[in-house]
Amino acid sequence: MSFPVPGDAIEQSLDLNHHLIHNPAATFFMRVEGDMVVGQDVHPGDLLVVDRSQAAQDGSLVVAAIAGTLQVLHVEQHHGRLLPPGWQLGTEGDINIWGVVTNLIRKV
Amino acid sequence: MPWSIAADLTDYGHKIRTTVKQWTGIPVSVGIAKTKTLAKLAAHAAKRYPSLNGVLDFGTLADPDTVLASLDVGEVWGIGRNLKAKLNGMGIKTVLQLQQADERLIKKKFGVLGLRTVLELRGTPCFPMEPVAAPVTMRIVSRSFGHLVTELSDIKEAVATYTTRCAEKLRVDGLLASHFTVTIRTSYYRPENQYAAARSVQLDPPTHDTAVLIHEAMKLAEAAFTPGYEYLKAKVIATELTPVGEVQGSLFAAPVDTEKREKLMQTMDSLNRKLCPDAVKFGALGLKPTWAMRSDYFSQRYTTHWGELPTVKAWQTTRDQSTRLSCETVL
Repeated sequence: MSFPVPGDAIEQSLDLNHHLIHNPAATFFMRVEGDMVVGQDVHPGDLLVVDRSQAAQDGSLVVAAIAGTLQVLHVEQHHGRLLPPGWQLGTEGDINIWGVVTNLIRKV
Repeated sequence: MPWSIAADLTDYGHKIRTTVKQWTGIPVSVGIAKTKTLAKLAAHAAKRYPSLNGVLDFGTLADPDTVLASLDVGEVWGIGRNLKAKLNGMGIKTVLQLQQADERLIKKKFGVLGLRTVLELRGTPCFPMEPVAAPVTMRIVSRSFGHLVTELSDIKEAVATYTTRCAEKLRVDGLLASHFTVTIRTSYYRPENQYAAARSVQLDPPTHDTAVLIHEAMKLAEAAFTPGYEYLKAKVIATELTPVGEVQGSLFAAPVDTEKREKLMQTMDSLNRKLCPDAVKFGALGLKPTWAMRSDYFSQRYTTHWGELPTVKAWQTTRDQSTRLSCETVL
């Protein structure tokens, strides 16, 4: 019995930055706060990796400024606009997509 | 076809502006011209005239003189408050007037640097592009105290702290200082009892050893200090910098065990990087700085501190189905 020698096989260590961030200049971290919402895939305490250089699409998880606060939500395509599900145009103020969430980092 | 190239440059400027806005949220203006001085003015004009949409290629202007005449001479790169007053005294108020000023007169009154600015305004490049940053020639650490300080002991703690920062920066840049200066001063904004002093020392051999620098800085602070004044600010300046490895051995100075000291500094730096700033520090820095700069008005460090990230709320999708349905019918 002998041990395999891993020395030659290891070329470099794995870098999470490299894995999670594609455009460092446009990437921001944000923390989710508030109460746990049933059925949400985002939990309080989650760390969001937000890329501002990506364009949001139908179904994207985004950070958006709604009525002056930043909120994280999925947007859907409605008549050429990306809006939260159940969004009532005209009556609910303005929504401004801040960036696209590319990764969720959650402590377990 | 110079026009098409010029048009492309404006397009390119817009591309830069849109990208920076999209990626960072920061609005920028873009100025394009044959010289740095004109480009800076173009950027300023681009900000000032909304119709330009934040981008101005100076070369595309049909009548650049009108624009130059509309800009205050104080907007020119390198012309600060004092120079502006002096120029105004000579009747030069707009950028156009400076551009058309007599070369000999400018050279006589403002030297060759002033002349260069005028030539740049005329489109002759005098300040070359610097694709590689010029080598560092000095390292300064300077902060105002949180409140006015009268005690030498407080001044010394502050100076030791700034010296520590300064030495860290020198080590990051791989530089050794041959000259070290400490200055202290009272507030400029109080009419009475003003005082300022600077003391320097020549270091032989050159060093970036925190202990050595603090030792010297303490002597300098004591020499500069005069009791009876209320001090507002201290500054430490390291000059005559040479890269590590290019230093000549000293003929007269006592030999130091450089290798051992170097290891000590490296260990300190890596501990402080890993744990927190000043996890390991010299006693001269004090334990509870009463002089420290007030930090209660600091803005949140959104992008550099894990504890201060911006927070977002999860969007509540718990609105009842009927609202949702009616909404969708309307849409």
